[in-house]
Amino acid sequence: MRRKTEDQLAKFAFGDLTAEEASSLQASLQDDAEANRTLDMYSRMKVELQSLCTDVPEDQLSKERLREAILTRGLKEHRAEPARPNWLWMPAAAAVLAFGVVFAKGKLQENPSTSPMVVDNSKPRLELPSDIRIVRPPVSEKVASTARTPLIVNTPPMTVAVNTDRGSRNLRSGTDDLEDRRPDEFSSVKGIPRLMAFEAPQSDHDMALSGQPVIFESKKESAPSRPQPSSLDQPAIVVIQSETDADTGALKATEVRNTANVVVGG
Amino acid sequence: MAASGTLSAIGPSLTGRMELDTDVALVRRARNGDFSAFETLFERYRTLVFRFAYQMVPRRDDAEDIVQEAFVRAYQNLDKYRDEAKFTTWLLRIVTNLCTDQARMSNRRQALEQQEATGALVWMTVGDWDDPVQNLEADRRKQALRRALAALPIHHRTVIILRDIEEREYTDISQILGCTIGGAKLRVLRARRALKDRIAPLLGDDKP
Repeated sequence: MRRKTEDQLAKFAFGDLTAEEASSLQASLQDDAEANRTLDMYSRMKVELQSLCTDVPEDQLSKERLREAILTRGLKEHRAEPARPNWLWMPAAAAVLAFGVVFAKGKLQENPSTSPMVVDNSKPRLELPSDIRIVRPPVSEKVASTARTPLIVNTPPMTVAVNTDRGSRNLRSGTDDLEDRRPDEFSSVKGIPRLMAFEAPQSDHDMALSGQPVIFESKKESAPSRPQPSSLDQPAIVVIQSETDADTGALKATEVRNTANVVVGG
Repeated sequence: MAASGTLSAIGPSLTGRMELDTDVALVRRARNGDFSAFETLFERYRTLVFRFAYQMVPRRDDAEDIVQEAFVRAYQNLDKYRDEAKFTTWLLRIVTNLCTDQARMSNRRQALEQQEATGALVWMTVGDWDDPVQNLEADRRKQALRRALAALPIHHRTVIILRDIEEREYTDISQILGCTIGGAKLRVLRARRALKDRIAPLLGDDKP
């Protein structure tokens, strides 16, 4: 039997059809034995279900029992509520925190005086031994307002070729073979190591500091006795070699009094 | 004319009292802290709710626990009750949810299914094979029907009881179940089909 037909029979048995629908269905059932059997089944099921309505025992509920249950449950509910965390404040707190971070970040970027030193991590880093300290030479009044600004080191390293075997010499007035060579060719010359040096960018701020290099001074050599460059005319340059010291493990460094005998190339 | 005269003779005091005794008025008083109003609602509908709960879980202790829990929850959530819906509809919805939760947590339905299957087998073997229906006593038939009803899935059992035993209107059923009227009618059809398949052997479907 089709399900739709069976549903119609069930509706007819339980009185869910209108009068017109019921009469038309009844007319179609005259010659259908299976449909009549199904209709009879549903009608008996309806009678049996309605008999269950009267087959209900008396309850033993009472108002006092209800009142007691409400009072007990009511107290528990009130006590439980404060323990629940209120999650509504979390999105608001997250929004305030994010705004604060963005605002602070923007403030920091606007004011470079408070910017931390930017270090270009892609460049080779110099690891100083513990007995080396950094001494900054005094700056002029032009840069007094930015005196507290740490040196920004983010320039590409420059290759400084120095003939360490022959000592300091004026390479500009050197032999023809040296003059004609590019700085990067010096590294291929036997005995001349390839050196690395860092210099600040040539900005307005840095122009005032040009010639005011960072001096790496050994603690063992008493600092006061060591002559400090006190003017812009005679800057001191510390040339850092790629070789390491066998004793300390740090990169070797050589101090050069003037730049006359230093050739810097890219 | 006579009716209006009668009403005027009754006076405003009695009509006012009648307005105060409506479900909506009692709920409002209960919200404002008048617990006696809620007790009036309890006395008014406890039998109806217990009868429905007993049909759902045919054990008196369980039905009483469900009814009490339903009224406790109703009292705690009186502020959520909307006046446009009938109080009984709202109450029966709470009972339905409680019975559904209980059915999901317990495995009693599986045990009842096994009992029902065993019981049906016993009844089919007892008495005269030619006319088994006449050999069944009325109370045993009721028990068989109850077991078949209890073995139905909770969603089928609910609509069968609401429509075919408690004779609720489809609008009430749709509000209790939280569905459309058409959806309620469809659920009732499916439940009747499922119950018929279960009790057909008991009602002599295999008659020639």
